[in-house]
Amino acid sequence: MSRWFRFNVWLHRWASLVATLPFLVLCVTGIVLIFHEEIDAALGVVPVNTAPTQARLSECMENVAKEFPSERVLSVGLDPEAHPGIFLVVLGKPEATGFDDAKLVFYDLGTGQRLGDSDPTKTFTGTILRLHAEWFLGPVGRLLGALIGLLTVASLLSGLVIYAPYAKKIAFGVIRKKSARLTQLDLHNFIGAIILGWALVVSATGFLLGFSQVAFGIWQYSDLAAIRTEFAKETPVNVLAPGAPVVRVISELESRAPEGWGVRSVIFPGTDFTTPRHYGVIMGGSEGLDAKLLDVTLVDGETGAVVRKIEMPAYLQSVYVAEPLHFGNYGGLWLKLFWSLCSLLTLFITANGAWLFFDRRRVQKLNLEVPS
Amino acid sequence: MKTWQPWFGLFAASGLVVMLLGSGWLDAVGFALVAAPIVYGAVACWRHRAS
Repeated sequence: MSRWFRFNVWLHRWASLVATLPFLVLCVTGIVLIFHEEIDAALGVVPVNTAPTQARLSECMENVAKEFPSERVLSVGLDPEAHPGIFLVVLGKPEATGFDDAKLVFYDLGTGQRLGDSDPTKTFTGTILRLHAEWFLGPVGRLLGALIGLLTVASLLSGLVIYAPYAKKIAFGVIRKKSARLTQLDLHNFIGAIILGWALVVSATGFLLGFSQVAFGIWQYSDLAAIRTEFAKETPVNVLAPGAPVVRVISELESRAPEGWGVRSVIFPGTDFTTPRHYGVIMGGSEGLDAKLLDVTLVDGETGAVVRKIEMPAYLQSVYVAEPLHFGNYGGLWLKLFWSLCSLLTLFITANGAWLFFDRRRVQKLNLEVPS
Repeated sequence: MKTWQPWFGLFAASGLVVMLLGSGWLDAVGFALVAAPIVYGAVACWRHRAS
């Protein structure tokens, strides 16, 4: 047995064992999160509007000002794919710049009336997401999640090295029934081989997502800081009522957008992700790569003039693209079902991998106890 | 023995990316790549059980 092979056996054993319990939690919570849109709709967290339209955008904003006079708008969102006809408004205290304590309010774009509100962190799926993504530990928990992702990638790749000689001896699909241990070992290897590609993608993207806040932090201190310096001499807008209303900004950018593209979100001036003067407008297409990449345009909050596009760095685009690849919510119900099946199979091989380890130790202990 | 068979599972990764980046018929190709290892594995397992 070569040193390289023995190293991989050691790595596979310990990386897997350390990650077993947290990974079991991630698999279970991950299955819930795959269906978070359906669960939120069933629980009434996000209201459903059956008449998709943007006719009453202005009335929505007027009602926001009337109903929440002591709060500021941090961002607004339109999601015609997942929530047609719904206008999402994120509110915070007048002095707020971050989104941590924000409140989400929904308006009907057809009538302009408020449909409901929610605190995204206190909903069922919001709580499950906080457990899945940050272990209720905030940014530190995210890094812990990245570490679990890294351990899983290490476990999968070392498992691949260990599996190579096994694959030459045992035909693919054979599950031996001679003993419980052999059956579990064959199942472990067989299922592992089947879901290897999926598991690599999900764990690698999980690792990337663990660094999402760090990536946004780096962008804020480098690219965004440079943009703020560039416009430092311009007068900040009144964040409670910018000179250029958001409705005008949305309508202007949608009139310029290529076919199939639209405004997905507008982040208001004076937040952690914009300058004190400018709106950050996130545009998106409806299909393929257009729908997955971050496309941000800087718009003057006082005049409504389009300033320029902001080139988002590759590391931030990677984090953005990693999210759908991690949660599998980009290919409809069939992909979600596939994701759930793979999560369940992963749950099984994680548990049976631990069983194989403890069973081997039990047998070794018994052998030691038997007098020769 | 066909030792290339186990590496079939890696196809799923390319399928996921094809589905993410493509649209229309590419979605179908992507999903076929994604689902192929599980379908193939199930067939291989069933054939060995039967024989």
